[in-house]
Amino acid sequence: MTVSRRDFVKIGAAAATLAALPRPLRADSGRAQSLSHGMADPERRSLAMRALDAATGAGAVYADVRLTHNWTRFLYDKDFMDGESMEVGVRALVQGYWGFASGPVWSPDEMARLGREAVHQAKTNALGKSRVVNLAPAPAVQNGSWVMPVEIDPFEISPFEIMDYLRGLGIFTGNVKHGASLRASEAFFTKQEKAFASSEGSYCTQKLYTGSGKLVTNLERDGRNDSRAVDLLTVASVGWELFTGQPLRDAIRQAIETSERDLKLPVKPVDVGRYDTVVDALGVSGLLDDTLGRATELDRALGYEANAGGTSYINAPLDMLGSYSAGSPLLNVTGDRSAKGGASTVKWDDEGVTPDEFTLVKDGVLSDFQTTRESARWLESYYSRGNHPVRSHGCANADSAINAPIQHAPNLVMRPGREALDFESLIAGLENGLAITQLQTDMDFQHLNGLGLGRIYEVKKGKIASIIGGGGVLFRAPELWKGMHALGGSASTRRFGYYAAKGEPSQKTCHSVTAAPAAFKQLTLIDPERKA
Amino acid sequence: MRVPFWLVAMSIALRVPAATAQTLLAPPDTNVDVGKYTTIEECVAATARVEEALYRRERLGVWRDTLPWNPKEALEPLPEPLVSTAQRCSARFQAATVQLSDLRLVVPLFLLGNRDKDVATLATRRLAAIGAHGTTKSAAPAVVSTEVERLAVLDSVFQWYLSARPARISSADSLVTALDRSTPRPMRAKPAAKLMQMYLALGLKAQTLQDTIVTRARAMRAIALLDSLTPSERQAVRETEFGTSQSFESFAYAANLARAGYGVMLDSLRKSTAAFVALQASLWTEATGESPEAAGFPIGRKAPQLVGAQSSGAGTSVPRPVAGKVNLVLFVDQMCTDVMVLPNQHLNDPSECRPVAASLRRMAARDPSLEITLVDRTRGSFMYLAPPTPEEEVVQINKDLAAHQVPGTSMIGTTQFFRIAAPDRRRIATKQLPNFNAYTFGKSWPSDGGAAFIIDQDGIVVLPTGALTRDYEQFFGDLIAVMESRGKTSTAAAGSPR
Amino acid sequence: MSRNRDRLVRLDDSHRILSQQECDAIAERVFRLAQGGGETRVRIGSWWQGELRWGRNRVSLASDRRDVFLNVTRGLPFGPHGGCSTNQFDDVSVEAVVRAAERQRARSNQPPPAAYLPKLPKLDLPNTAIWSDASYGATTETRGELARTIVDSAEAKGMLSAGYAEVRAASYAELSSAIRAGEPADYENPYTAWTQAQCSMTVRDPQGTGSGWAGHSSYDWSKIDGAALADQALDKCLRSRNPVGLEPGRYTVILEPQAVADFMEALIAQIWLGRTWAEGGNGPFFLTVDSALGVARTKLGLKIADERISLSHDYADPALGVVPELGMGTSPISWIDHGVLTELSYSRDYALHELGESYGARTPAGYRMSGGTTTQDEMIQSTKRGLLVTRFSNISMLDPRSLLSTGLTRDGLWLIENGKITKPVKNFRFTESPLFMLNSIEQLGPAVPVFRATDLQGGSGRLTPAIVPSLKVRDFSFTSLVDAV
Repeated sequence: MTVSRRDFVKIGAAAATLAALPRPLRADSGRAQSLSHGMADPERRSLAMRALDAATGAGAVYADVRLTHNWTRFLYDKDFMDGESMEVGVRALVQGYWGFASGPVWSPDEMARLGREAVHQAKTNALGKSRVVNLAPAPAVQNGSWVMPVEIDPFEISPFEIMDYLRGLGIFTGNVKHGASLRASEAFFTKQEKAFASSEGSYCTQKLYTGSGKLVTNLERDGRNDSRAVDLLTVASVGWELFTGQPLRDAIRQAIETSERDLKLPVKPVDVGRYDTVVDALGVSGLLDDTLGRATELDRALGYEANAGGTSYINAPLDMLGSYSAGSPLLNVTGDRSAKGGASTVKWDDEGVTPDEFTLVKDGVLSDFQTTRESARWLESYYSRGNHPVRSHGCANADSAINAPIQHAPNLVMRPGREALDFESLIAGLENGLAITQLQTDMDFQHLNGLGLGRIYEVKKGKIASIIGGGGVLFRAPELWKGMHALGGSASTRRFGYYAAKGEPSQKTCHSVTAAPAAFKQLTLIDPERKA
Repeated sequence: MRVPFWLVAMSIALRVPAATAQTLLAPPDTNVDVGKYTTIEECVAATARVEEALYRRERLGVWRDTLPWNPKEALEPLPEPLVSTAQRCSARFQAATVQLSDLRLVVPLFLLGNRDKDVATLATRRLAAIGAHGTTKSAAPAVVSTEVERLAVLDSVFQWYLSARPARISSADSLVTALDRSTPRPMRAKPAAKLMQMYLALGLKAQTLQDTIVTRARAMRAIALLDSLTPSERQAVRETEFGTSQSFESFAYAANLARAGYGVMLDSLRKSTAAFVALQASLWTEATGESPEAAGFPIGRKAPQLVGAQSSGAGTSVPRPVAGKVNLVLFVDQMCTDVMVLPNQHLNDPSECRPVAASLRRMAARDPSLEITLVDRTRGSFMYLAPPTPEEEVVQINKDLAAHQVPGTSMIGTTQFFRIAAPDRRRIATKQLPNFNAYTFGKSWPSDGGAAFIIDQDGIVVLPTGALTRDYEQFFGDLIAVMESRGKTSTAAAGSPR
Repeated sequence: MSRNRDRLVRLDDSHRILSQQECDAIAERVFRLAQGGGETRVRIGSWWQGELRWGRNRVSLASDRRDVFLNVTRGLPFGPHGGCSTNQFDDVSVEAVVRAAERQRARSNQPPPAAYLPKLPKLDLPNTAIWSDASYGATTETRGELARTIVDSAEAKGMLSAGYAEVRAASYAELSSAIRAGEPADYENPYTAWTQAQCSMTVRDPQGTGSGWAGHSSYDWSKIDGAALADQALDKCLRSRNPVGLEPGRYTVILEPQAVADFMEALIAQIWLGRTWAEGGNGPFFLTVDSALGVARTKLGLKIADERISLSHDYADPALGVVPELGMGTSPISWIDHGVLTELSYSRDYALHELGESYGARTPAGYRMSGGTTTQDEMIQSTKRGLLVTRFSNISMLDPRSLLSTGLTRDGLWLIENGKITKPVKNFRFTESPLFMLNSIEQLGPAVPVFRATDLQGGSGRLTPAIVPSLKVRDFSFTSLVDAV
């Protein structure tokens, strides 16, 4: 049952009285204004309706609209930069063709223009050959509202407090050991108020946060330097507690200690060959993201990204679902957009869908793809075979209303192993082989073959013996995951945030990947600088 | 601040559009409750930020160098906001429990907040912790390492006392005196060297504060310690404690100078330049066992005539330095006129050029018949202007000097350049002619960088100095005043050029 | 509707980017709101894009998007440019961003101004070709028609086409309250408006064994022949199906212009990093420290490539339209002349101090590479055994000193045997340096414009055109097979 326009107006009137209450004078108080009235502002709803009315009036069979109000704050130890923006974007579907129009102006006239323009875009291309879009069902969200829970809103505290904190970390690092320093200390926060409405009767508002940072330590010994990034500050849906709630000083001390150990290790040349390899949680999360994380994006798998990032090695979805061996039976991967603090976490996606937790890989077998309302339908035959509902998993994402929502990665979670193993114990269990930290992967355009560069250690009899100077590992995704034979336990799992760019024009969103350290069979060690 | 309701109501009437305003980019809150900071480092960062903010306004808006110089500045308290930030932030840290490994952050912070008693407690705790860790097999190495550590700790505390604002002179003094008394005799080289440096530092600080009695007393103690060492000990101290070339000699010379006393120096100059030169030479020789010439100290030599002038202006019609007058010759290489695309991107620190201008203004005001010569050279560029000819550049340099109200006559030579072959075509300055942008006295006196020379009416170099700094302005001014009042000194023999 | 709404800039269909008058008017409002003296610096910009994306032979999204921005810095003249930003032009928002900028400057350390500030000399912008009415006027309908042509041709052959076409117009100005008042301050960047366009596509066979690509970018939409690109991409797709695996090793390669341009990026980046970077001891163009002269020497004046290679940029060249920036330089620049390194990028600062010149030589924002006369057919015919490469992808640099890089071939790789293309070949990972490539040239083809969609040095999304030849290169190092298509 869709909510009528009249109902909307009634709800709106109540909210209007709220908005009329006095707000603290900005000039006097100098405090960031409370924005809890903002989201309930009835004007937003009426603007959204205006856009939808224009779109449906011009012939759209489906239309949706997003209004976003963004704040950004970038800080380092000596300065900060604030930004703010507002955008609105309208999507319209006409005869199986999508049109989109967006801009920075929130006014009734603009809403109407955008609604009409989106339809104009769609209709012009609907002149082409027939195309069918059959959106998977999604219950309308009637007047939903959600504020992402964060402990400390970084826009409510003084930026000077944040800068003192960052500068203090630099002072602390210099004191840890002679020759230690902090090369970079930065923080970046965003806050977004988003309103979504659809011609199917949805209207919901959300307030979302992201936080991320950068701390890079350096240790200098006899003219040699070893730098490493503290990996606790990758992007997440958190506030200032990203810094204050984590043991950053311990992490800095640990980084300096590791640098000191590494600077003392002998450096050996590459002995090309195949080795059993242990990778830490950060590395495994990157491997997961760059292989299966990209390969299970359904639009990519079907060739819709071919002209940009490429395609997927899982390239026949309907044939492969339920049977393709994506990895060893240890491999279980799920996707969600609801984990607290997950970088992709929302209450409703950018099509108004409530995301669900879904299984991408079960006991090593490909089990699902990342979907939107349009793409979920493409797997209808698979879903009905297994008596699963045909529904979007809620992966439609537009980082701001200026961009059209497309499928982006959700939070990915790799289930840990059952035993209480961790990076150290996996290394201890390695008679002869390699251990890798600070792994950066470079995949091909099917996310199939990869080159991994990072800090590669030689392991002998369960102990780190030396550093392999200038080495790299080559791997192929299916063989990599099939060769995963040991996995860290739940105490060793870590969550990291990643940005991913996709689409034409390119758009960037963020998501989390949770993984444990793992042991892989027989990765190929090469000297990447060796010419043929 | 609570806003009265009527004001709120009025503003609603006026600002109804504001209620429907689109954006709320609120300015940040500048009030931070530093009392809730939980780490020392954040407190240090907060005080640094407050200090920068306090002095920012001054740096940008107040031309400090035009203000009278307050020699007692080091004894004055810091601005209240800085002190209270330090106090509020550090309140939760107790001297009895703070980590000793944080000492170098905590002590300056406590001193900022005037928590001197707590600093004394901390120092005691730190000294008590020496030797408490681990045991050694043989007694001798343990004693040596304990002693070394004790000296290092005391030295650190001493430096913190002296560099604090206001400077904790008496605390520093007490520390040194106590150390002196408690050091076993006969004193070994290491503690002697440390004490020497401390006494000298106290003496120089007193000199800055124009306390000549204390200056002399401390200098005498430093000399006495120096004299107590055997020649081989002296050599060891020189190598291990002083390291770099000439710093030991400079230390000894400075101590001798302070012991000799200000008045004695001025008296000798009042007699004649030769007497002054002889006194300086004897102080140097006494300190180092070498003649000043061997150290490349061109005191007592005839100042060469400056050459290669390109500039115009009053005063360049006579040869400079001007005979019959007291001269201050300043080689100003890079004094705020080097190319800057944006005027604030000085290749050198701007804080170096402006204090010089101020010193010169004060010196000129004090001694109107002082002949000031500023020697500079063209570089083929001037700030962000299109590349000037040498003549155009000279005009610009003089305009800049005038804007800084720098007194004196400028003599600006044209630097010769060649270019690296195309396509590189960078400009490389050719080797300078003698006495072009620096005095060259044969091989010994370093000729790069800026340098100032005080020259008497006979054209004899009375004192060269590496830079014109505020601390020595008074001293130079006194020397100049003495020379002015005495006139020329007679015999050419006394001031014969070497 | 409140009065404030009327002050919002309307970007309607006839008027998709901010005009100069509008930028000036907004700047004036900002200047009047400033409190406390000093300089107010305003950066105002706007952009509009008409976009068309397709996949699996059907348009998947067509868009019309636009946005504006305003960045305000408050402070003393010649101070740092940090600033706070907004994209709203109503009174409340503009005032809020001014106050935010003022608070920001309350924190920063800025050196005191010099006592003497002579008048800034006038600087000229280079004249470049950057506006095309064809781009601004490429309507939704035009783009739609083009897309249908493109996808129809692929579908007719049973292949799947995916691609993207875009037209963009943008405007930008950097304005200073101090300059307006006749006081010394850092240069303004005068109002500039420009257009850019791109079209590229990837055609794949449904079995996923073949892939072909073609693309072009220019400030001028009319220079882009979408239909011709579609034919190229389709042809490559058809001919690349069912590739065989070859042994990695050193091969003679015929690199199509796009492949050359892709591989040249690392080298271009070093030219962009310029003299100061090289003189600091970095990159491949640092030579040595000359202790006699007391300066670091670079390879300027030394031969770094084959004498048939020249690299230059004439700002006025209509085929190389770039967005002009002040201080960039106005005269044509030669970066490499017959193999000799003749220039590296430098700023105005450097020009004044080191060279006695008024203008910098800024970034190869675009470049023209010398070509030859050998056609691709002739190159193939004269090759006993080699590979024909369409383009490279996923390139990353391994060693900044030699520019040794690794990356992949993509969208068409063929074996040449005895003067003929014999079979399509699986992709390779290469480990090679562009400097090696430029020193191992056997033949050059005519130089043509290529696809270069964004400003790779600045990430600002600006076009950086390049005119690049095909090259036949010997001993190109391929180090492993990559079975991705």
